[in-house]
Amino acid sequence: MKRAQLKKMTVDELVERFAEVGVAQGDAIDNNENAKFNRLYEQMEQVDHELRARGREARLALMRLYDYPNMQVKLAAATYTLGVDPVSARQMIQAIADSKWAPQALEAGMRIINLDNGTFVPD
Amino acid sequence: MPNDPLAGRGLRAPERSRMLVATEDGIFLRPGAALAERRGNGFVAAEPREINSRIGALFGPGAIYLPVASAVEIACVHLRAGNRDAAQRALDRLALPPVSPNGARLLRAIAKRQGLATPVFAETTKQAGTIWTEDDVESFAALDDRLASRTRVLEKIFNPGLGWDPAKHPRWPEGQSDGGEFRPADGSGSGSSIRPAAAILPQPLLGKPPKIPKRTPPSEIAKNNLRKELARWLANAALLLLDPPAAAVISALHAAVEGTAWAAHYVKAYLDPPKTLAELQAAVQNPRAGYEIHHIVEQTPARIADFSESQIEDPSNLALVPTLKHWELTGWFMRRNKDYGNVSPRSYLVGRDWETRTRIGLDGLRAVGVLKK
Repeated sequence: MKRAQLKKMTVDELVERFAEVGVAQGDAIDNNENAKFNRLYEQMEQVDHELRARGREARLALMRLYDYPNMQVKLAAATYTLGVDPVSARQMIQAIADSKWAPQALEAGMRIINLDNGTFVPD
Repeated sequence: MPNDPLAGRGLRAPERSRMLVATEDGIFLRPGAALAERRGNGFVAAEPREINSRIGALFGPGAIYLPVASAVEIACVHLRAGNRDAAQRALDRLALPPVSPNGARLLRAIAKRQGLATPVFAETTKQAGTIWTEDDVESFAALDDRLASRTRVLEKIFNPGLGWDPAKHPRWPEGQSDGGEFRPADGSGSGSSIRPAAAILPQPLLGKPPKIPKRTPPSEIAKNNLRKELARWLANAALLLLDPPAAAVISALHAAVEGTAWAAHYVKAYLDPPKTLAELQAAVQNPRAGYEIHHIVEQTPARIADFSESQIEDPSNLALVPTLKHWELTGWFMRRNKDYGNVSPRSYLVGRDWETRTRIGLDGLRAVGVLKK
């Protein structure tokens, strides 16, 4: 999807798009399609970029995906909201780590470690 | 929005009255149900069914997906070692959700019957599943009469004097779409640190168990796909508290996997718990089916960067890892990652020194669950 199309979307539609990309990312990880995952990663970055352009409230809209019934979407939503609601986002990441649900729990666990040691500084 | 296990995770221990406590006599759920009890020098956990029943009654049906039984087991280990504080911390980490409306009515009814102070706790206003009648509540509360003496002893522990302050945790008004759920204390429209969220491990996430074909898959690709699917499904199934029929399906699948020459070693190795680095390195001397030798600092990028062969093949750089995890690790190195500045770990490491490569290599082993965190 082109950036121009993202610009025409409402915040709700962007959140929906974010979830759609997240689901596809999860499938790509399961199927070891790493190049595909990286393309999807860029698509998620573009959605995030558009949400950032609309301000804090728009970014916070991703928090509704904490309820989404897909672990990759939950993890991505929590990661991308770390910069605007670090407490809630970290709690969600910790919850995913505690769930032990592979592979997202392991990535969530590493995210917590990398947040704590400063390797990952959310913005 | 349904009542769910992650709701209320933002409540820090000092801000809430505890729902689970560890004492020298066991682990108790408010107001006095024993989830584990002292037996001689040891501690014995209650049956998972009993634990689920108690947790579900207080926090709603979704709460049974929380790893309560695991937390109780861990807390028992600490109690056996005489470390009550560590046991309590293990229970606090569970971060139970607010009490459901049914659970709140039950706790108040028990308090009234047993002459206890009005209990203070975090509570949601939405009930998933059946709403109990007054008769239901009374009859369930009566079941706890037999625990009255213990409940009185535990009352002070459950109410350490730092009760729930509703003023600090306002809710959306009834009648709104989020009616009854917590809202931010500053009154803003979103961003609550105690935002309800979905059950973290709903059973539908698991999907149907993979089928093992009667004939050996015709190609290595087909075998590998099925090996991965079987391994991951079994690993995740073990996390869910499944009803007996579903548990029987898991056991049958384990048995079927054991019977296949092409999958058994791979799947069994995949289900290994994480090990220490010393264990992974020592195992290199004992290679076996289902495992591969992995270079902690990836060998091809290291050669491209002109690191010496002796450094690359040094025993300190080798670890024996499950084959299927090895593949996952390769994928981890290739995928873009927020933790490493939006590039893949492999890209991140270009131009970096040996120490950094080792550190990220160990991160990778942790990220796929091979190395203990």
